[in-house]
Amino acid sequence: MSPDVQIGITFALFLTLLACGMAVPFAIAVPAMFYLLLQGGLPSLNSLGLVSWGSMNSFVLTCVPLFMLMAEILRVSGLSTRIYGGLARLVARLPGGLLQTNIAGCAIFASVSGSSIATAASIGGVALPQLLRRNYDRRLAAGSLAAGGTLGILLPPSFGMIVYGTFTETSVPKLFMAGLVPGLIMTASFMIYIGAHALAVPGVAPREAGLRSLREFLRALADVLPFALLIGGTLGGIYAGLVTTTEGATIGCMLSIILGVVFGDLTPRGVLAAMNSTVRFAGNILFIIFTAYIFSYAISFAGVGEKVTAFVVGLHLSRLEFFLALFLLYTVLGCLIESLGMIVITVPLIFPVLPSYGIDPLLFGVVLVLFVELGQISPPIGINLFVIQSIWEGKLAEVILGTIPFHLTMFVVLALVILWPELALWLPHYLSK
Amino acid sequence: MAQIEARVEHGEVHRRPLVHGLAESSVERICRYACIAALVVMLVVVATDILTRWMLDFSFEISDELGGYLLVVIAFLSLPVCQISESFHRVELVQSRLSPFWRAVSNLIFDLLSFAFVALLLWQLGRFELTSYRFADRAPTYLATPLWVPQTTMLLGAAALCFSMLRTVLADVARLRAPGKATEDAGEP
Repeated sequence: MSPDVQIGITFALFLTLLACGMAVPFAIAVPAMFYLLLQGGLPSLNSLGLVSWGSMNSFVLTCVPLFMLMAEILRVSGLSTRIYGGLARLVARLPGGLLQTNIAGCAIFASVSGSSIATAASIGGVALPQLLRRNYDRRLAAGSLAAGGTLGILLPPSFGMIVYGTFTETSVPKLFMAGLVPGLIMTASFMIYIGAHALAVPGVAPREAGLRSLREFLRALADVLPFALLIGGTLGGIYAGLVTTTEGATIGCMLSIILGVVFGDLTPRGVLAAMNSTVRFAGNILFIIFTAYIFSYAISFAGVGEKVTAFVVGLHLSRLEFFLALFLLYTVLGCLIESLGMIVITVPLIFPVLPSYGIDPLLFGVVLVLFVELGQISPPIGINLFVIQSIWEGKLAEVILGTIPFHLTMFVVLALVILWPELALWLPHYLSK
Repeated sequence: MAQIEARVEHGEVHRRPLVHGLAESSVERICRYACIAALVVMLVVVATDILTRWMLDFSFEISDELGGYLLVVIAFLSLPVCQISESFHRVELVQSRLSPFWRAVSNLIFDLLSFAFVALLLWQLGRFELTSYRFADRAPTYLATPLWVPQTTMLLGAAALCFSMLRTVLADVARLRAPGKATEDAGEP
């Protein structure tokens, strides 16, 4: 069997197992083992112990369970309800009313959670019942929450960026900085779209009463304050270079416990529940990363990475054509593969090609996360679609249709970042001077 | 519609429905407690380092090393917990269209393949652990930790996952052998 056929069969096996319902980490690991055995028989497995130890004994990855714990503590403490209430009073006067609150709430929760599922579930759980009670357009309400949730992996801290940074040895704090401006542009674009839609079709969002007094304004600000403190305490130190990403996550956990007790209803039982959820979520994500390392080891064992690089370079694509090819690849993959799987399977193959096109690893990290964001609201497997559908028990088709305008908005932001890389690169370059 | 199955209860996202619905045994419970303990120790170690550096301008310089070891603990000992609570993500692209019987058959095939992977991994981790112990490998750090100590958690995690996988496979077989049970258990969400 020729090497090309072997790798073809391996990828076909991977996609088949994944599509047929095998758990994602096993669907990555089984073809990787199969490929290793094809290449060198049982002796090819001898390095598995070293690969396992080398991949998981990583201080950079330590921040993953810690950021998860922080998000879980915020969820169980009920602080997401409080911030939604505060933001609702602050931005409800804008055209689109509470739909604007959805996006602003998701952006703020995203700035402390790192996960789009946690963001969509936390804000969606609070927002959807209110939106439906007040007769907001169901489609737009669901779409705004599913799309808003994706901000969780673009706005720092982002698990996608942490995983990409670990695989490519790119600075995670710099990746966080690179994601900030595109994340804010994305947030603003979503809000502008909602505002324009609400002005054009007034029936989609009722007019909300705004703040009536200074006292009400101050109370609304006080509701947002815990999150402002948390974002400042966590990301401020990382951006300023005072603490590492893991230390920032630890500070975030400590602050979220304090804020949860002071401003929310966090109890010791709640902390334990948050830790139990963290163990399950972290175990899932870390296992995907671990099996992806095995996959990466398998393809490097056979020298596939070099062959792919030589093939892509041999195509003599321009930089824009290369990004268009990536766009096609990730759009298709986004419909088939779960988000983290998409990063860990493709990065070892594509990353070595980047220097040939003069693409900054920071820029590619942001573009990759934007592609993953798109995948999270792409049918048939976009996880955020199902998170929102599960909350409101409505039709999935309505959620999918509701996200289409946000999809298009994401394409525009993606194009902006590719055409003007400085949108992503300016901040990390400026702050590292 | 093919989908990643999910349900949200009190803001928490779960897959639905549980395929096996196995109760947590003492092995998975011990692993879960160990992971929680590792999480707490990780917080304490890193927070202590931040505090001493900030207040006393002094660092123990062990948080990086211990943090890595504790991550290994969480990564491997959480595996049986995730397996039994069915927390691993899966895509229901094809399964949602299968009849309950064929869904149960496909689950058995996947679980057997997964078990084969875990068994191979356990074997290799055992070899690695033994080599590390025989050669008395030590971390090139201030603590000079004998590496076989933290590496044992990888072996224990893989062994516990093997145990949980075996329970899952047995549950798959039991469901297929019990007449009508596969149809009832693997009903539509």
